[in-house]
Amino acid sequence: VSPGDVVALGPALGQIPQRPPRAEGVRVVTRENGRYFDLMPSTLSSYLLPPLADCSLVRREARSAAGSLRFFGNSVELEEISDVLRSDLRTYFTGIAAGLVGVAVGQAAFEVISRLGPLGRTKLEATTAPFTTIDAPNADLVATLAAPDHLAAPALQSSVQSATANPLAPDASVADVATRIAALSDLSDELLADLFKVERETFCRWRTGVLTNPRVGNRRRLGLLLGLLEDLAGREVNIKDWLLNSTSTPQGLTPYQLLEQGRIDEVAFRGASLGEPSVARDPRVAVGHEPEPLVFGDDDIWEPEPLDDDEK
Amino acid sequence: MPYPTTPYLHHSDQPHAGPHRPLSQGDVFVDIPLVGAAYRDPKHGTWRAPKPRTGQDSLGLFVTHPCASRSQTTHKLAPCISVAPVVKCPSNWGPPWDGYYNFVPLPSLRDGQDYVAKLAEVCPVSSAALAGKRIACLSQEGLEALFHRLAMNSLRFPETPMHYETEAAKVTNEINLWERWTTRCGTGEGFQDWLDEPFEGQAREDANGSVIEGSREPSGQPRRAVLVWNYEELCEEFDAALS
Repeated sequence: VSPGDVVALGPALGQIPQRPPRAEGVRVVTRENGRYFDLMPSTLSSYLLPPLADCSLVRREARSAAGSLRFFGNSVELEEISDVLRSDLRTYFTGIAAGLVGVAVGQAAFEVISRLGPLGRTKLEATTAPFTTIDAPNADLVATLAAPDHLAAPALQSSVQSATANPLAPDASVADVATRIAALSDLSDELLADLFKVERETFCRWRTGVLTNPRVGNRRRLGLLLGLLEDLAGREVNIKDWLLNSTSTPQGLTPYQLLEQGRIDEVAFRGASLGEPSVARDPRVAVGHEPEPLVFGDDDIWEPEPLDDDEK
Repeated sequence: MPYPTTPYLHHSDQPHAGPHRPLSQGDVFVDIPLVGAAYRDPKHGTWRAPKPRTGQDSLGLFVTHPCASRSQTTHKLAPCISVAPVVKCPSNWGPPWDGYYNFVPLPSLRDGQDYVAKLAEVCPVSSAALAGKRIACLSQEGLEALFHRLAMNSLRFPETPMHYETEAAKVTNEINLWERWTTRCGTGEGFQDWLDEPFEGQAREDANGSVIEGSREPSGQPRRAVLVWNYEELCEEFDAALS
């Protein structure tokens, strides 16, 4: 097994841990050296740092990385990471290294940690979470490792509440804006990147501050999307669910699909009536049809005022 | 929402500000005929209309939304437009313009003096009377503030939903392009047809943020539908079309 392979997790694949799993948390077993460790709520609490909220960067970069990453004490050593990935990862881990314990981990650990980011933010729920045993023989691992449904919503809500409680300054950096967009939407970097017609890596680099100069159009679009998401957050809607799953348009498109088409005004219009009965836009306006003229009665007449004597 | 200090895109003491810009919501005019509410003649007990206000002190703010003020097919102005009379700002009101939602602040409108539009006295004005009489038009930010004032005055709706921003951007971007078209071509004819043509798409960028040549893919949307999200790309198409 080469370093960087997706590892086997849990006892289902025969790599039995030496002692029974704890009653809570998640056990991670790496294929490359057979070691395992348990990510316990107490450990998770050290991962509560905001940068871990959306670890899709780590997840994806680790997947394509050739080597493993090792944590030593409060530092992180990057091994056999391509130059392209190095700066992104280094920037990323600078923000979270202080909370990490001294344990050697491979790609799988990153996979798991990345998925536990949102879960970890709700410590209260995490301490009551049942032990999770995961059989993940292939790249679907990440999806399998997603936080349990009953934890996802509070985590999202917590993220949204945090984001709306502290609005960004008008001169916020691109990294701040992109990070807030990711936190509010809970969408993957890939989905967000598609909205801006950029590569996933580009959005990652905006978010991590590696790239600070998007083109003018995308800089403006970042602000627009943030405005939309903050508006939705104020309406206490599950933003991700609404964006990806609600289909209230005549064409059956989701808000995300509308955004892909560049129709943010349509999405904002629909967002404004969330929680209320859907109000359809007058389709005649969109297609440029003249409404049929209304016929009024004889009470709709203005008679000219008689001229005064001196005007005659 | 904080009221903008300078809510104008074009602004001049004398008409016609932004000479090639189509008339639209938020424009301020001078020397237009304004009519007031009828009053009961104390002598005869009959209802009489006050003398229409005209001249250099007769100012008004274009209130009607573009969709309601223009034909959806010919895009010409409707014969009659709702206009709020504009007067000098009361001496006991000013920034940050809290309350008094029946007034729209127009800071430093003329000679550095603040004015207000009186939403309680909105009156019909023949669109023919507006031609060549504009002294100011609102920026996108100013238009958003106007939306908020209108909603507060009419509905006491306190929020400033994202819809205001996208709607203001949509109106502003369309009028911006229309103005540029008229400036370049000498007429606005043809612009709306161009706006209804398919959008050619937004170019993709590589991992370094560089544009990938030839990566534009039409989204199947008319240009009109992407006025807010893809304004920069529309400007490029616009320049290419008129070059």
